[in-house]
Amino acid sequence: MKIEIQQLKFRYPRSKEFVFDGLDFSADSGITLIKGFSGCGKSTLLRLAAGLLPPASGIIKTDSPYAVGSPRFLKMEVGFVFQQINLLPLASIERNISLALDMAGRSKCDAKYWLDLLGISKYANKMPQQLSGGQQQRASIARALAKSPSLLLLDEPTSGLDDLNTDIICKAIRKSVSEGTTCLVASHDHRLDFISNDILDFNTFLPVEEHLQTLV
Amino acid sequence: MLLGLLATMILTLYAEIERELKSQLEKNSIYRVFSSEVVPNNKAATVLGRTHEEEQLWKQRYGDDKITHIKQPLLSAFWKKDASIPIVVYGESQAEFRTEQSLTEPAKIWFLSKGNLNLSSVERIRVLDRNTVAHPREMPDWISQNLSMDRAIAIPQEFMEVYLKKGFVNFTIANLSSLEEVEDYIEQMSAYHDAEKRKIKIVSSLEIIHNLEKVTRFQQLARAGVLIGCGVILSCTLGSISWLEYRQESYLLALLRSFGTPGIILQLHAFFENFLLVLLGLVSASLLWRVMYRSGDAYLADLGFEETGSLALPFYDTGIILLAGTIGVLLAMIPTGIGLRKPIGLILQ
Repeated sequence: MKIEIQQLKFRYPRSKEFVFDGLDFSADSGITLIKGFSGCGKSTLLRLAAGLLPPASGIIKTDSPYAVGSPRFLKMEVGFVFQQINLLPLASIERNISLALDMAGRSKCDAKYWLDLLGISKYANKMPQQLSGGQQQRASIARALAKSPSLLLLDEPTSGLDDLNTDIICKAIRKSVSEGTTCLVASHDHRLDFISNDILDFNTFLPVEEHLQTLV
Repeated sequence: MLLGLLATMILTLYAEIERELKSQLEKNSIYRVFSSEVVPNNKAATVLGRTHEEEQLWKQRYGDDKITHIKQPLLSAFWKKDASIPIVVYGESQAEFRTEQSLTEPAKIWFLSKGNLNLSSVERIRVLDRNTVAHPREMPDWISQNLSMDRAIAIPQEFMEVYLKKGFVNFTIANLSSLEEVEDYIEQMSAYHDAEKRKIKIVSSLEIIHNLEKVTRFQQLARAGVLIGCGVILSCTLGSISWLEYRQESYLLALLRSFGTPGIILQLHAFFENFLLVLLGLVSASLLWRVMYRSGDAYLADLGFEETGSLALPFYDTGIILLAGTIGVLLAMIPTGIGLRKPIGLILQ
């Protein structure tokens, strides 16, 4: 899926500062790593791309037949892994994945494949709170990947995880991003650099030094 | 659910008390008005000449069956060893003392008594210096209750005209059916006698009725208060629960929306969830009221209350409960509604 953002302007409610003031960006199939200092708008860009936040102005367009942000677009095209682990607390790990597959109209049988791929098969029947942070994050990624989305959005997928967990996640992402899938990964984790096809570095728009200067 | 149960219990009790109170009052003839006029010797002939006309006037105004007249002359009859018995005089319209034979025979003199006095078929009595016979019969309740008599001699008016012209007491008993009728009757009766410059003593339960009306009005206010209070508490409780639930689960709702679940589905889900809770409360209350009623059965029986066969909840009370429930459900929708308007991206981090 191709995603194109033109002259995007966005600011949070009750904030005078624009997070994006005329951003132009496009991404084609493959993995694009979005890097930048804290608060530069990496996560915001992912939410805008999915249509979870309404832009003040500008255009976000994809080659999907569904409008960006519409329930059908979210259901059929988007797989989103948020920064906070957000598994459904009253559903087992398997149910979390099969529910996402069900909603996207895909076979529930695929759930096992993704559980195996991310090494959480033996936790399939456990509840999210019974798993460690790394295991929950893997389950969360499995749920997003299982839909085989055209637009995969990962917000700090490896934040706070050890090398083993990071390695498993990187391999899974690499394997699952097939031809035609656009994957945007917002992270400042250098361990993800090697899996990316492209990098959008917000530090080039606003160098860290300048940013730190503004804080002073 | 417990609040619905409590409201239903209070309202049922109020409704039962009101129904029972009305029933008891009706049994005790609360709308009865008793008036007595002592007609002295000098006015007796004039007043007596007009009594038939006056009786017809009150009967026409309030109904034949509601007004009863009876007169008591200022003399007594004597029976067995000079025992004095009061005399009451009945007119032509007093059907209960007139037998069918009266049309062809002279009207009878009755010996009225409460209970069995071992009387023979006729009893010899003496009125002034005349000896005559009286036929024993049970004394009607309205005479014993209003004139406080155990025994009396009932004599047709045509026999007593001469004695009545020497003075008598004119009793009028009105059995009315509403507070308004009682008020109107007392007003009319007083005005008529004032205009005629005749003194009349009216005894009624008007003050009691007024107090009862006040109690009823207070009860209605209390009931409205209970209903509104319960409605507001129910709404606030459901609203608060819903709000807390929403705060707790807003992330979850946003998450479900991020999967592509339309907001309307979540809104409908919340509506049915709240609606089912309220419905469950109301149904439980309507089913459990009998159990609660039974638990207070002995106490209610001591008060002389009769067992009721169905829930005596007035229609408008039921309506208000349902309205309160509906408002509660709708209010509970507000937090979810507001929450669903918030962009998902502002909730999910």
